[in-house]
Amino acid sequence: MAKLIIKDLHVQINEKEILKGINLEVDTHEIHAIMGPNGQGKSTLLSAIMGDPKFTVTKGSITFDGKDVLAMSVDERSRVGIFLGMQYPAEIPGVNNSDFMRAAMNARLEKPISLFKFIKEMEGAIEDLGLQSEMAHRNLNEGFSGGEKKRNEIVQMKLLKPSLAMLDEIDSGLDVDALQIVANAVYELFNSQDLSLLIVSHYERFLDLIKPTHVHVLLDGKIQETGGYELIKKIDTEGYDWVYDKYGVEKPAIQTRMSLDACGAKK
Amino acid sequence: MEQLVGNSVLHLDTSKVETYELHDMQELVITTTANTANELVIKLVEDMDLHCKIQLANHSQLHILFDNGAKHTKLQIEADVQLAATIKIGMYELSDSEVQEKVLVNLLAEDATAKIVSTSISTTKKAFDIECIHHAPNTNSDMNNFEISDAKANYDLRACGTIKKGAFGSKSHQMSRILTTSDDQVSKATPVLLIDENDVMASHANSMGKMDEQHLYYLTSRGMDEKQAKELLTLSYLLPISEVFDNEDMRSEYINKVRSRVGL
Ligand SMILES: Nc1ncnc2c1ncn2[C@@H]1O[C@H](COP(=O)(O)OP(=O)(O)OP(=O)(O)O)[C@@H](O)[C@H]1O
Ligand SMILES: [Mg+2]
Repeated sequence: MAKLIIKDLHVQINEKEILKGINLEVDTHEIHAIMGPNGQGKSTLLSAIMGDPKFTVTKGSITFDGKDVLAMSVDERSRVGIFLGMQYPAEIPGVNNSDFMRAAMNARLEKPISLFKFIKEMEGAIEDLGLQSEMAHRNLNEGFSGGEKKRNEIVQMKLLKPSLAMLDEIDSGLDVDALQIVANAVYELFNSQDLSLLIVSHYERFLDLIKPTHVHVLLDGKIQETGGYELIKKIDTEGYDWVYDKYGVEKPAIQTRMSLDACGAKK
Repeated sequence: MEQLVGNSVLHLDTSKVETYELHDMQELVITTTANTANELVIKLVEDMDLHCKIQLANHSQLHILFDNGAKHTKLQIEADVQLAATIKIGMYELSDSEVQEKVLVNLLAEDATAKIVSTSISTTKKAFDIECIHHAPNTNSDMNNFEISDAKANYDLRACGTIKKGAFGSKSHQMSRILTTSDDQVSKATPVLLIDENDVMASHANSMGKMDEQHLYYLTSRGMDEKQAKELLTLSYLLPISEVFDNEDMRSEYINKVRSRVGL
């Protein structure tokens, strides 16, 4: 049973503190949703768990299955079963999607997967996600549409079979049918093996399909509110104003057109 | 493989796949016959100042790769491409040689097409001056240049697409990608578009810099280690050269050569 335990996590980017003490535990077979207004640190949290070099952890700890995640390189984190479906997957010119996937699968196998088995699995996953089979031969994410990129992240998740899957706004950019397809793929994996899920989404629609067991609201670099499914409903109807009020966090001032123009004029 | 010694003329009157090794040569003339399709590798193994003149007849195809393993090379390629003919020129420059290459392609009649790919790893001076001139309507040119600049590299690329008045419906595209692996190198890419006609499509895209940290992060986040991720990214600069060929054996030969060059 692999459990993710985060204690008092502080994370910076370019000297600016984004996460200001996150505490979170995610156990196998649990589905945690993280919600919160834009720019509060949701992606930062998932990226710090994965090990994105842009971010610096200044304090706190992350363990997974008892192992010190912060001491691991990014690839080691992946090989112990951590997966991040990214909000903005990188476009990588010249790297073929299937060469990449095969190398990624082989990285976690004792003995390389046979070409035949690989093609079968990759084609199966691509088809399950409703993508064209030619996607396998295209350059990784290059020129993929927004929705295609997100589906391709899920193709990777299916093939890599993680034990902790983190999905960062995987639903944004997906059409209604794709939303259902992605939710099914996530659910299928969830039901077929030991998996915990950490999902960032802004929308009730997707979370309705995924049915989180725990819901957190991240605001001002901290998890301010934790609850169950009812929290999603409340946010969907009332927004976040009440969270700002309840925890005494100041709402960011609305940028006026004036200040945006002034900003542009300086360049 | 055939050896060509001294100034030579190659008349390609049938379709074939062939490798030639050049010796003691200043001038090589290659002509094609209509409706033929040829795939050639030209191997340069000794220092040379070579002028290569190519003439493509109507509806003919020539895929030609210059594989340079000499120490010092001066190479000038001039190609005239006629009606609905296609030339693909590859420049395979993965050795330590100092090179100065000039490529000039004239697209002389409708539907003439030129594709030029260079792939190079530099540790010394390598200069490329590539130009495709569109003289006729609906002609196409595509110039793709890939370079890995290691320590001591002095890489200089000029790529120019020229569309003359009356060459409407023509397309001129170019792309250059330069990977720098050292601070002790100088790399320069100068894309030029000279267009004297309205109804055309033209573009250029250039990138230069160190290996992208976010690309490495993405690849390693799927489990491959940093060394493997770097190899995969390096290959992305070198493998496109294999696309000069349609012939599967030629393709795999160059895919394998490139892979062993980066130690895979
Ligand atoms: N490269 C960067 N340089 C400076 N600040 C950054 C950088 N990347 C992120 N930030 C800042 O970090 C903060 C948190 O960003 P993050 O992406 O974690 O937010 P989020 O909660 O995921 O928002 P969203 O809902 O919009 O995806 C934001 O204020 C953002 O502007
Ligand atoms: Mg985000």
